[in-house]
Amino acid sequence: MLDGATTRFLVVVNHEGQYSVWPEDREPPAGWRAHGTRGTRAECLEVIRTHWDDMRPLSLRSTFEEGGA
Amino acid sequence: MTAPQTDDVVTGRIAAIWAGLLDRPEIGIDDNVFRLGASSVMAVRAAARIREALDTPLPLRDVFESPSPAALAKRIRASRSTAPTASGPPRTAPVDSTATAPLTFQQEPMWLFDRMQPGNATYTIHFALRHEGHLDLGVLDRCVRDVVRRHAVLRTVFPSVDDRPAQQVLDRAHIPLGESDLRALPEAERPVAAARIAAREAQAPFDLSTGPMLRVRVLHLSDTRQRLLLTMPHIVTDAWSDDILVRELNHLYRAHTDGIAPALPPLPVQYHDWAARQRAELAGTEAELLDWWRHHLAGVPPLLELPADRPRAAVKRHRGGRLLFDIPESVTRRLEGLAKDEGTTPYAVLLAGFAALLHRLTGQDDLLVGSPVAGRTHTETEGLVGLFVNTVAVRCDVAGRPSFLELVRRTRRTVVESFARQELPFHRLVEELAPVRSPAYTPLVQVMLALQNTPDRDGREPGEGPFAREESGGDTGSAMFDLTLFVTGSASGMRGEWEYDSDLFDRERVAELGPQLVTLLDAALDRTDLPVALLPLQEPAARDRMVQAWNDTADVLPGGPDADSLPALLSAQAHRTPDAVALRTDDGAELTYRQLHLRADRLARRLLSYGLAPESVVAVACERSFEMVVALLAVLKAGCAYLPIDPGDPAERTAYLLRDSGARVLLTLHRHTANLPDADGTTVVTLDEPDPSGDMQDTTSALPGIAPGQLAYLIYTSGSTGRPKGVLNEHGPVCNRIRWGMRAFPPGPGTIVLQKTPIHFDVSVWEMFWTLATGATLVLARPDGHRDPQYLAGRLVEEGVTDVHFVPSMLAAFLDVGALPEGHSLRRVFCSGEALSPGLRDRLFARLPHVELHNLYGPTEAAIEVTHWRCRPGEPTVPIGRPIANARCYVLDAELNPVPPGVPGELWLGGVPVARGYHGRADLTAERFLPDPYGPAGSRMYRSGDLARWRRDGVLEYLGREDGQVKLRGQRLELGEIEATLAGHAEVADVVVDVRGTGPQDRRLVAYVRPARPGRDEQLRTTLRELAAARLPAYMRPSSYVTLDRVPLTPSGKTDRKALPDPAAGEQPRSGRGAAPGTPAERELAGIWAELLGAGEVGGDDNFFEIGGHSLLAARMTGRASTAFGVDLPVSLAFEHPVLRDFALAVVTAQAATDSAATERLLAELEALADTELEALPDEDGPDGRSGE
Repeated sequence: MLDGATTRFLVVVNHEGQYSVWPEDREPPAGWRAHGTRGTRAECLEVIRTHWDDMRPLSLRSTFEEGGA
Repeated sequence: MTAPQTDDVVTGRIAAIWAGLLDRPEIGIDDNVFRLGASSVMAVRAAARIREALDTPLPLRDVFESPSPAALAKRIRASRSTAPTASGPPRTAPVDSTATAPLTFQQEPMWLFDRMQPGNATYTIHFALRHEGHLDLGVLDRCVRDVVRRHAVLRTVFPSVDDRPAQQVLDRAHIPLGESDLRALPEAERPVAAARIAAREAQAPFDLSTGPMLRVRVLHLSDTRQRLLLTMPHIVTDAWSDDILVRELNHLYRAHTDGIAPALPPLPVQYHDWAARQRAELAGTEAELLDWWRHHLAGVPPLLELPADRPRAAVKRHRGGRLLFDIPESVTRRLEGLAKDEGTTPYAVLLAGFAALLHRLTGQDDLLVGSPVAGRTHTETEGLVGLFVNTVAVRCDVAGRPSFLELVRRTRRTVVESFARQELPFHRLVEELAPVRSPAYTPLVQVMLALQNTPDRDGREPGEGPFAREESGGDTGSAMFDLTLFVTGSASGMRGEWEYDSDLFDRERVAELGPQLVTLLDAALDRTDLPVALLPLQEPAARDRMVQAWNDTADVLPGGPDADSLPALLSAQAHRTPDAVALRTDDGAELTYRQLHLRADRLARRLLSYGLAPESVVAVACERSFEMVVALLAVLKAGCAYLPIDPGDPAERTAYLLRDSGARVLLTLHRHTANLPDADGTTVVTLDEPDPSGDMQDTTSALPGIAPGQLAYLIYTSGSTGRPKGVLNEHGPVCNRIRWGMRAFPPGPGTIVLQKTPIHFDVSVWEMFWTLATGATLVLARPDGHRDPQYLAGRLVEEGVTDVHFVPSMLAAFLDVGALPEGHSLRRVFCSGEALSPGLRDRLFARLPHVELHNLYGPTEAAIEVTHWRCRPGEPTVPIGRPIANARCYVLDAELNPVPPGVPGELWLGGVPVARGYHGRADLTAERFLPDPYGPAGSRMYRSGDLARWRRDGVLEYLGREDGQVKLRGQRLELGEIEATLAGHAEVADVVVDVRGTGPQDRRLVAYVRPARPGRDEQLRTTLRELAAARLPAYMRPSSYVTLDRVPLTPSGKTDRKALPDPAAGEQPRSGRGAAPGTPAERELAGIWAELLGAGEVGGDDNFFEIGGHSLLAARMTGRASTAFGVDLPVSLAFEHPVLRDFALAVVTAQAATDSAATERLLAELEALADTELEALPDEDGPDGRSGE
């Protein structure tokens, strides 16, 4: 249950380097892989808060780097 | 009393009684009878027989709680040694058969209902019997008379004496035997005719005070086939009784035909005998039973609100329909298997499945399901016709995400406990627990589950012919409850039948319930360890249709292949129509497409000269003007993201936005600078002052290319933690929305769009850029004009505006103000921002019949709008429609499963429109933007917090908010943000902010404050008012402050918003300042203000906006004042002169100006008229052409 007080989550990340959370008791959807952290929602979000410091999608970051911007 | 019996003897007798009921030669003394297939009805009968055989008072619950003969014997012995006396319950003795008796508790509500709705067929029992071969009507008539003679209840009437009900047995009653001959009809027409006659029989009223209580009609379907229709009021019968009647009719008919004496068992008592005793019998145990039930049902929600097709009416009419479905044998077999394994009844397992379904459909995890019980707790009543059936309210606990197995075990426990206390008549329970009834729903229980477990199913052979029950008789067209599920055994599994309230539910919705229950049970019985919350309700194909087919929106849109950045999309159009008018203002000033782009290019290069990188944030604080549009376009062309700022916001809030967004540059106008904060590190550029770099500037270098994934703008929305959050929107999604709009609403010749939405709301994005991408003209309303319906109406007509957007509450104010004159060019009205009501929609169509009305939905986090519906007049609801191009919508439950059509769930948004996230808030982004399990690999979906449901045709309906977010006059705000702001004050111990008032225009914010120190309430209210004005935008400031000693809490410890008082007179915004209104105009206006604001007294120094006024009320106020004074008053007058005394003066001045202008015009006209024409003027009109003044 997404909002259950005791529900445990995984930190997941997609091909664009975007982070999210997903209930621990089921497989992450296609295109998402587990990042390694698991815990309560608050614990997972705290890890994301400290890890995800550039919210630009990876494809955009590489466009900027190629374009030299 | 019999001699003491040894344990062995007692155990043996109990085992023998059970064996008889279970139809087995013998059972072991330690066998659990429920594992052997005992039903709850059998348990009641066993209790009655054991009581009689052992001559001992045996509470029913002992039978349920001690399910083996040995255990029960032990329990009986234990209770005998503690019971003070062992006298059995008083036997029911026959009383004088002509006496009147009181009604039983079961009969009372039936009688009451009949008094309130005489002749209503809700409590009519109707069934049909089939007969093949020759039917001797004379014999049948004799059988009916025998039955009526045998069962006194069938010749009982219910007169009321002094308005108190009684039952009186008559010596004889005439039962009419009706006949309908269908043989003359063509065979194909007979079933329809038979059904019509059955319905008529079923729906014809009974007169309870005079009888008869039974109607019998024979239908001749052919020479050899007849159908017998039997109809009775529920007050004299129940399902068990119906079976007795069938059995006895069969026996009597056979006996009379064969010429032998009928051999029906004698009836030791009659129904009215039992009626006379019921109260006395109950007297001893009632208090204890009531206590238990009161405790057991404490805190249960009074209403189980199933998703319905229509809102519940104020008074339930009990109109209903019935619908059959099959429960396949594979499900039935496993269901019975699980019941045996768990030592419980099939009923308990079925109830667990039904409760799971109800839980999934309603989200309620604590619910009551009614269960009918036979109520024949004494053996001598077993053979009687009469109303014995009782309702047991079974409380189902689905909390805490149980597995199905866990739910079955919980249900088993509650069924045992509740059935063991079934002697308490439901009517008594209702009187005790729900003394205040709502006529809108049945008390305590709205949903029933009935497993038809009459004696015939308990092993006793049904009487052999010639009459046999038809599967489903005539429909009484009524429903006792919202929903009842009847389940009966059939050769191929079980057969279910729904009886549903057709005022609430459509047949199509009920038709889905059976398959949903079967799908759920099938999966649950396969994997009993699976959480009930995860069980499927739909076949995979039906689920796919919702998440895939209804979201099959992939589309190629107009605008060309490179049109996925705003500058590319807009420049392409500027090249096509360079000389067309792009912008026009109030005073007639115009910019062509070429001029607009030249100015924007110049400003973009200037921005780049500050060294801004792609995605740098540039704040724009400009009121509506050419400069505003140029600034936004320039920021986009420079590859930066714009941050719109309301120049009227408190400086403190602006400072927060600049700091939080990291804005490098702020573009503004000279007149706003006084209200802007000093922001370190932000370069302020004043657009209406000369550029110091002047002509030095480079005018030729190419502007950068923009990637679709690049940021376009950053709009701050209210945040529940007290900090507004910046939504990051990219060019691709925004262009998707605009290009969809180009196709859905193609610009016609002379398309003119009114730009009136402030730029800190994202609707402004398509207003401006959809227009400028299509070569149409954008007419800019004057800075405060968007709040002034009268002004807007004027602009619409003068400018020939074709397209305009309204938040619904503003649309209402606009329609209030007055009619658009003939000759307007309005073609399309767009609504979004809050729910559009059918009433408002129809008002618009009544006023502007040829205008298209489009309802759109979408949060800032999903590129403006993601669903669309073209409104049509008279539809029962206003849906938000279907997903637009490349958008996906899901209605999901708390487990992220799609909920079936018609069931409310939370709306999640996927596909192209999804925003990047919240600026600098990775955690909040990850919380609201989740992996989309139904979309393309790696994609995300946004959790809107809105409640919605799918219609069965793939159209979405909006149902409200799930959390503390509030829409007030189209503005999205978090009550939590306001609370956090006020709670920051040291004098505030606790604060709750709520929305009060009914109707979109009366709703206002009220702050409830618990002061840290008592006694200075008035001063605190003033302080908080000032604090709100300094920190919050105007639309988020409470209009009333109420101080409380304590904040009311719900039992679960949350703030009980419903218990918060409405502001009392003293806590209303303070009014009555200054001298009382003196002049006639002041008095008249004070009256208008007081009425609109609900204020007691309005003083000459009162400020409209400080005593509860807001912009929409200002529009209504000036509207009324205009009518009262016979002048057109602009809304802005209220903003310019908010104090009553000043406002009155302004009104009088305006009136005088109009009057003198009118007088002069009239005099001029009069002079121009020839004398003869003057004489022809009708005398009764005054000189100014207006009569009656």
